[in-house]
Amino acid sequence: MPAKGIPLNTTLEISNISKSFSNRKVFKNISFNLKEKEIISILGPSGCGKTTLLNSISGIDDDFVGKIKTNTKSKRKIDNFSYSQQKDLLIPWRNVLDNAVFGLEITGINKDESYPKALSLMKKFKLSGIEKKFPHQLSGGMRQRVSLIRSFLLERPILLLDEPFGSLDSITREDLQDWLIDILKILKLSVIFVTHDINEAIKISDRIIILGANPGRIIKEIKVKANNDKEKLSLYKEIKNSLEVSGG
Amino acid sequence: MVRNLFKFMPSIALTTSLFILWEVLVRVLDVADWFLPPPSSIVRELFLSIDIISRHLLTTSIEVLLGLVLSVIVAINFSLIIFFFKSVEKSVYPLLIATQTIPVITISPLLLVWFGPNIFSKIIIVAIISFFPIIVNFLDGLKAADSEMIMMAKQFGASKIQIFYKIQLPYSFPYLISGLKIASVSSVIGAVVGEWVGASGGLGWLIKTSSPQFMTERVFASIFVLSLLAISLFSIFYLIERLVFKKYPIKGSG
Repeated sequence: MPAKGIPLNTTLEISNISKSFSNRKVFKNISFNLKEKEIISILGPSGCGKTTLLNSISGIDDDFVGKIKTNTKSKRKIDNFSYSQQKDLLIPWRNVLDNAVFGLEITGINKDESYPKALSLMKKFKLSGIEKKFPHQLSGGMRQRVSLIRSFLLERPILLLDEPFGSLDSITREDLQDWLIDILKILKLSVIFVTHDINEAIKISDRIIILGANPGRIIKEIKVKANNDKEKLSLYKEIKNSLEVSGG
Repeated sequence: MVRNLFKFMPSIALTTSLFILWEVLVRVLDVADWFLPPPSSIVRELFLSIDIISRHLLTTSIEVLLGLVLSVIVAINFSLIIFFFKSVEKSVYPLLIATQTIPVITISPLLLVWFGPNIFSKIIIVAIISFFPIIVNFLDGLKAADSEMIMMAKQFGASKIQIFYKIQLPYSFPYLISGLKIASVSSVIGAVVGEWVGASGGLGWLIKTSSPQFMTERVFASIFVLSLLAISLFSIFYLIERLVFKKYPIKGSG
């Protein structure tokens, strides 16, 4: 539902949200805007409430104070977001194709329609040939790709990623980062990417929001404009410094 | 298949040597047949009385199967009601567990009074005895579904019913099968208990009537057939489990 008072090119407006859990503040006074096709990384130490924040944004957790407005056509709040986590959460008794169409199936789209859609997207993103395999037959990296395809197929405007590559080894992780960057160029989604890996944040995002812990709060916002390794290094140092100052 | 047989080699070897030891000891010590017959006499008896034994096996099998079917229907429906209505769980579930502390043999005379010495009293005893493992396992299975998986489905917009059919029910399947495996074995015990208390047929009745006549070979032969019946039922569920897991591996998720 297009909300009033949001700039046209802004997809998501988060104003002053806070959350407490049994008298402990998890995060407080978080405000930021997500523009159309923008990729924001939320970077912070463990325990700064990154996952809780994403749960609140995504609509699976309604128990928080503050306002979240979206500038989209969807009726229900959750229909704006696709949400992928560190665990791939593939359904073990379904093969890759049936896992990929799970979201579409939930929305009532039948297999005649969803299978070709999934297959063409998998072909486009270099995942052909594994449709009939079961999750346990795939590597961690492959499983995460399938899980992301499942989210992309829903064609929801905002993609929330909670350390999607957190459990992968560094080589696989780099592969998947490149893969995701290529995909995001094509799909043109607005993305909030949660990570604790500074290099990953620099590599993937347009803007980085640094959170401090106890309670989670925004310390700094940095635009990523690094064209060469030298600039990337200085950006890395700048981020590292602000994380250390915050005690993270 | 050969590999499977190989897997059972140790237990086959142990069983065979125990039977040989039994045979030898009974012969060497010259034990009377009515006291403890050697395995060879039991096998001979099995072939000689195959007509009688198979007739009674049929009776027992029917009781067991009908009892199991009744039990599965009631237990699955009960589990679903308990699963969906928390108030039912709080009020009924503890009661259900309490009833399990009553030995079935003590209520079987009552069932005999209420239903008569016919097949119904046995079916009900079988159903009562196999009800518990099915309901406990199935309920555990329904609750065992990965909470993050459920969260994922919710985020995709799944309704409660969709989450149940697409996540929780499939998740519970291995648990349900475990329950059925246990139930299949105890169901045979239930039928024998029922026949013991009051019947005019069935292997339990055959054992009860053969024993005072010192037809010990027949008692052993009947016990052997009863255990075969339980093993076959168990194997059926075991095979279903294997076949389904081959096609839909529940384990191995990431």
